[in-house]
Amino acid sequence: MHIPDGYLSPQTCAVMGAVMLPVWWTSVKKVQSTINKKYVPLMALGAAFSFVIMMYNVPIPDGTTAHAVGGSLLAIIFGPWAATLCITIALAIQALLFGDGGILSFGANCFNMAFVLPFSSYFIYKILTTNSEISSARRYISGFIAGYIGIVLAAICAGIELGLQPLLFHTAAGVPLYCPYPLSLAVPAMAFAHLTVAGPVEGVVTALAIKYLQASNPEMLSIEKIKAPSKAFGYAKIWIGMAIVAVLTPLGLLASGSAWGEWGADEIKDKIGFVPEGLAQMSDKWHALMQDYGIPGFDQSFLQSAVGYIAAAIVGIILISLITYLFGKTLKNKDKEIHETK
Amino acid sequence: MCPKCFKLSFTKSTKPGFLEKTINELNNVMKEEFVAGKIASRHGLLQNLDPRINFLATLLLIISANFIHQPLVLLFFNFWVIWLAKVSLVPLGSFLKKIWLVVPLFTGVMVIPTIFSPFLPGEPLLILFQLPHPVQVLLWQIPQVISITKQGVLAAIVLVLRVGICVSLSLLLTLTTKWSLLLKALSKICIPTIFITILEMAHRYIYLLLQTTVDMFTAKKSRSVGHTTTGEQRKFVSNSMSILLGKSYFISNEVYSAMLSRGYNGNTLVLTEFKLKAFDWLWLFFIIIVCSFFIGGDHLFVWK
Repeated sequence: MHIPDGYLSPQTCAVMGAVMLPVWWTSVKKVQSTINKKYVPLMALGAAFSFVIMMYNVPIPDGTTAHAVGGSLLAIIFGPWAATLCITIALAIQALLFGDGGILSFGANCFNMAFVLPFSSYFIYKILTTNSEISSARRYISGFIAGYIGIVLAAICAGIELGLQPLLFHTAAGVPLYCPYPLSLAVPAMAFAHLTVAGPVEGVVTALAIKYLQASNPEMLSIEKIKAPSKAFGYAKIWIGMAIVAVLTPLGLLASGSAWGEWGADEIKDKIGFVPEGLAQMSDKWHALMQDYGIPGFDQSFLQSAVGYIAAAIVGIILISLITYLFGKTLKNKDKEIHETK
Repeated sequence: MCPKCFKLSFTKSTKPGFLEKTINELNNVMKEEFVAGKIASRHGLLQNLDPRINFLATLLLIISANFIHQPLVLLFFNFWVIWLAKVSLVPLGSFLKKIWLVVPLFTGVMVIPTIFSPFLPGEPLLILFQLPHPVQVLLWQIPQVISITKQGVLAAIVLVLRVGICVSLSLLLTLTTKWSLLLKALSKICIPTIFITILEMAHRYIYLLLQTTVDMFTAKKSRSVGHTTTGEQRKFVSNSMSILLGKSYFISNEVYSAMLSRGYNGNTLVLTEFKLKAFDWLWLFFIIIVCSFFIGGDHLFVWK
């Protein structure tokens, strides 16, 4: 899944690198705060481990072999932030010291393999194994699902990055300047290859590795729990950030017209002269409580609309936070129950 | 037909299994690193540069290669990189083999469908055949006229040539830089020391883990007799991964204790001083001119 240099435009590479900067920064801070000084050798060995297992040949049923990334296993054992750091270092060594994977596309490769893969695998595994014993079969079955879905999601991200290239960068004569395959080909091709071969390989390897650890080294499966941060991390900053974003929501009112692709039925009629039949049928099906992000009857002036926007943003943020809190609470309670039963 | 060959072709053991494949790959990594170290200590052009300048120059060149879209300019750029390898005393035969056997095999094969109209519609260069009517397969539209298109051929050539330049430059950087020096030097500029420390330690321990894996796999091979199913083989590979993970965790604790007993307090200091010479600045200036020259040349040609 390593995208070499030359397939992605420098602009895409710059954006992907910029996206990864806060992820790397947070991962260093998170790992530093949870594992303390000990994290330097642990991350170094983790990165070396990640590098080496990417080279393991895994036999597959047709008689040939394939490679696993091993990112899911790392995320399950050490947690997603530590896995991000380990895989990033492993990819850096591959790109710089072995000329494998691309220097300019490093950010994009890290986004797919060091961010999407470990995070999706970790959360799938976490959700599926809540309330389960270390030795339960649910652990390795969840490991398979986590590894499988994690690598497929990472591949789809790579497919999207590649597929966007001909759409964004081509000459006037239609010659694609970078990867030539559009989204409609790049995404299915990447997804298919990973759904059929790489996904099962990653899943089976993760599941078998967890099964082995359950039998011979069960302490490894609880490393992440021991090192998990006990205190809340930067909640105040998040709330301040959200408040600023909520206050800034009416900014969009300054622009005239609707966002591209978000037209109402009447606007579509203005633009193309008729309303497609399906759209006309569907547009009457649903009426929101706060239509157009406003308070009903309170949208006469810019000020009233702005207040309506902020109110809608606050309602949205409170609802999302409440649901997230309930999810968190449920998972925490289940964790507690497991500890108490031990 | 040679009776020996005939016999071999029916003997399963001639085909390298997953154990041999992994052992060979791991040994190759160690061998390549050794060869790269040998080349990096030669007195060629790039080896004499400060590692930071070499890294920065490579990055600038890769960025400019990505902004170039004319096949002729890209071809000339490729020749220039080969010349750069020659004056840096890199063995040209193996260098070219590594680039121009691998790039056409991966990028070239991947890009072949692009030249046909179902994958990239455009002006037909050569009409292959005509369908009775266009066909729609899910999201994919197959046009009525199946042909090799001008746009497709150009896109394929540009991509292969550009990937060739990028891979050559990366390999050249790998072969001509002393990594221990570069990593130390990088921590003096923009990259956090902690990141560099982990990178340096990881680089060192990769060889230990590679050796551990080679030992595990060789031991398995030497005690395996008869046929094993792919299921059993997969189980062995996964178990080896778990063992390696356990070992890595154990070693990290040992290493931490060793660091602690030597006075490690969480901070890392780089004692080596790095000073850029006039030649390094001159080379960087020259690289900027080269980049401008290639990008300028690219703009002189107009797509037709």
